[in-house]
Amino acid sequence: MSLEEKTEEDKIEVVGQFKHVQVRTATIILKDGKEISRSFHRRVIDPGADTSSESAEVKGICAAVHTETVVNAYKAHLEANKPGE
Amino acid sequence: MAITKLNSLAIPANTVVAADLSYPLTNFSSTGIDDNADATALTISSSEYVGIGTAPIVPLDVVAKTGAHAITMRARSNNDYAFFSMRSYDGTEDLGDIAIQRTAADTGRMLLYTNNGGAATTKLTIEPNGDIKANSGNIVIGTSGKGIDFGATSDGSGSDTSELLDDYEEGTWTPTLTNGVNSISYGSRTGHYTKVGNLVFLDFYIYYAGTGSGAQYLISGLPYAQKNANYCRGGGCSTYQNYGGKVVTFYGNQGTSYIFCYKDGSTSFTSSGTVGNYMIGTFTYQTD
Repeated sequence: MSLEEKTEEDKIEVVGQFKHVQVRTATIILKDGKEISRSFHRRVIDPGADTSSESAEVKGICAAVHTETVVNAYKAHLEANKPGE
Repeated sequence: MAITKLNSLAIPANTVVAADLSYPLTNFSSTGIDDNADATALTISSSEYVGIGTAPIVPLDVVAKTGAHAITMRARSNNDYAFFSMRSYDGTEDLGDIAIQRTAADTGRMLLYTNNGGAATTKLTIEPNGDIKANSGNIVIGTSGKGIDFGATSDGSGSDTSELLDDYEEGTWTPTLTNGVNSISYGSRTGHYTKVGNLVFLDFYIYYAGTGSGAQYLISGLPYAQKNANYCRGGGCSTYQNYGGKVVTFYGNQGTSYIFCYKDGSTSFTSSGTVGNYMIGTFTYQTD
């Protein structure tokens, strides 16, 4: 019997007006090559966020959708939606 | 055309009790076949296809006539099953079946069988009352955006915007204090999420150390971006936090992936000096 663990970014979604990139990483446990378990970890990449540690695929998507226009719009959105004291 | 010659005729004595043979045969009976048709009912084509009520275009071709039912299968006895079986090419493997079980008068249960090694077993049942039961295995929505439509229930008092349950997911996320603490380090931090439809429920556990900067705490790293709609903020509070003796309330920010921390209603939650504390809580919000 062999157990193997692997991870993969099994879902990458671009959502909303500001093109947030939602990345789901699946941790998959294989027993003798057959999947017996799958669990998920998620994170969101905001427009303008540092993507240097991301996979090439995620970097590429972020580069494509997080245009200067989108990043600036998101910055303006954050500024406009700061809650007051 | 009259029959003028028979090459052979070997009918044992007493096999045919009564027969009316003429060509073409318009009426005959035998032990296994009783033909009472007054028009063509069964056609065997030159391709060896068989048609019932039609000239066949596939190996077995049946066309409904006066009623809508083209084929009827009967149970072998009351409260038993009628099976339609689908097998492998050589016929040795029972790969799938559709069955109807009579459970009472005018009452039937439909069962779908598939084979996952060994014998075909029931995988899906439609009960007589319409309930659908997945006997083993999951119900998998194969198309994003599709799900379970509750459109038949118009029981809300507000304005419905969707009655489609199209998502469910559980997983983990990594809560991060991105504001409020300098030189932060984490003893532990973990978060769990459950998403049902567009509603996300989070819990998180952060044990951190650092130096309070005096700025408002932000918790980032949410697993989904928050819905970008005016006045859509989500909410939650700390269930355990040991700085300043205050319950911290969490306030979302539309269209972002972080939440603000407050105390005493609308006062920013901040810290100063050396801190090493817990921030444990829950937060619920909507996604796009």
